[in-house]
Amino acid sequence: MPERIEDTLKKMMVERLFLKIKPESILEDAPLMKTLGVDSVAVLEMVVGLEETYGISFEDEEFDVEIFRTVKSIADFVRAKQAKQAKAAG
Amino acid sequence: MMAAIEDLVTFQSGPFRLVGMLHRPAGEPKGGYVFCYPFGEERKSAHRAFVHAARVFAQAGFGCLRFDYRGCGDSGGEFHEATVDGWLEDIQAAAAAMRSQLGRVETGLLGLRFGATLAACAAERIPDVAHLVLWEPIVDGRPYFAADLRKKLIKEMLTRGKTSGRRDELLQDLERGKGEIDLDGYKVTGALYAGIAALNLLHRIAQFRGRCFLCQVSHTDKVGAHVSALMECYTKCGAKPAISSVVEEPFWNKVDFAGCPKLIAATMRWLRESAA
Repeated sequence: MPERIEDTLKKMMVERLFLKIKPESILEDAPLMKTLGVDSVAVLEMVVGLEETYGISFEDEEFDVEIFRTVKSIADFVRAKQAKQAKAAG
Repeated sequence: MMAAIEDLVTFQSGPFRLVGMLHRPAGEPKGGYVFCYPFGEERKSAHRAFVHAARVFAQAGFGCLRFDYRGCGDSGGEFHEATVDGWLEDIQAAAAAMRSQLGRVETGLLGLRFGATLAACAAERIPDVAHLVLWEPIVDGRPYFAADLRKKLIKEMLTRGKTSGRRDELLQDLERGKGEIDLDGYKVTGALYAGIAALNLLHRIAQFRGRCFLCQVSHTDKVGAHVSALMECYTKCGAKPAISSVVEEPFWNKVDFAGCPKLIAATMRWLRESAA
């Protein structure tokens, strides 16, 4: 069974952002900017990680501060992108 | 043990007076390295790490010259006058200035990120560069600049809730010579962007035959395709490349100070092995 996007995301954040915490300690509804100090460099790192991991691409007009508010909001965005890409692929 | 000495030096590069700091080792230098800073905001974040690296090099017997390119830091000129060709001339002038201070020593260039790209290009045109140290080199200028621009737009989105435009439109304007792009206060002109976008090391490297240390710095020790491709390129042209990867925070992206002890240690190992 594939890993939940939220869990993959937490691991990716810990690894790519060099966070000194355990992935499971990141709460899915916690505001990332406030709790983890996520800034523009961290967001870019996450975007690159998401693109590599899920084969999705973020278009410039899709950037919205709300997407990066929590782990859950990022995961919802990834699911929506995957569904859109699957539909486009027929 | 005698202490290394640090001297402020100035030298001419074309019409510009450039400023640098020369780290002299105690005793006869085993060689000399010109340190090539990265671009823009990354230069500021990498500054202290470069100072520390130069001091470690000097303690190990290598002279180093850290300097500011034209239009940057303490050097003469304005940023809007900067071009990639101008910065390559600056590296050449810095290498000559370092040799005039240290005597006839084997010359090396060390660069980080876009500074590594410039160092690799400069090594193609300066015949007596024998050693290259490339830290997390940018292999292709075009996607690198696009990523920098993406970071700018993300920052705008986080701070203002909206972005000033789309990357493709902003880049098209720049290519048409319309205006500038402000990257954290560095106003990039069309001429500078054209120079950055035209740099692809895989197409530029053809002459260098010396020793070369390619070091990836990232969240993973799995060597990426960009560094592997560069290694292959250097091998094909008859250089002696060594490759390494260190898992270390990208210190050139940090607002607060972040050192690079693993990177410096890996580089010192390579220097010792090269000298052996």
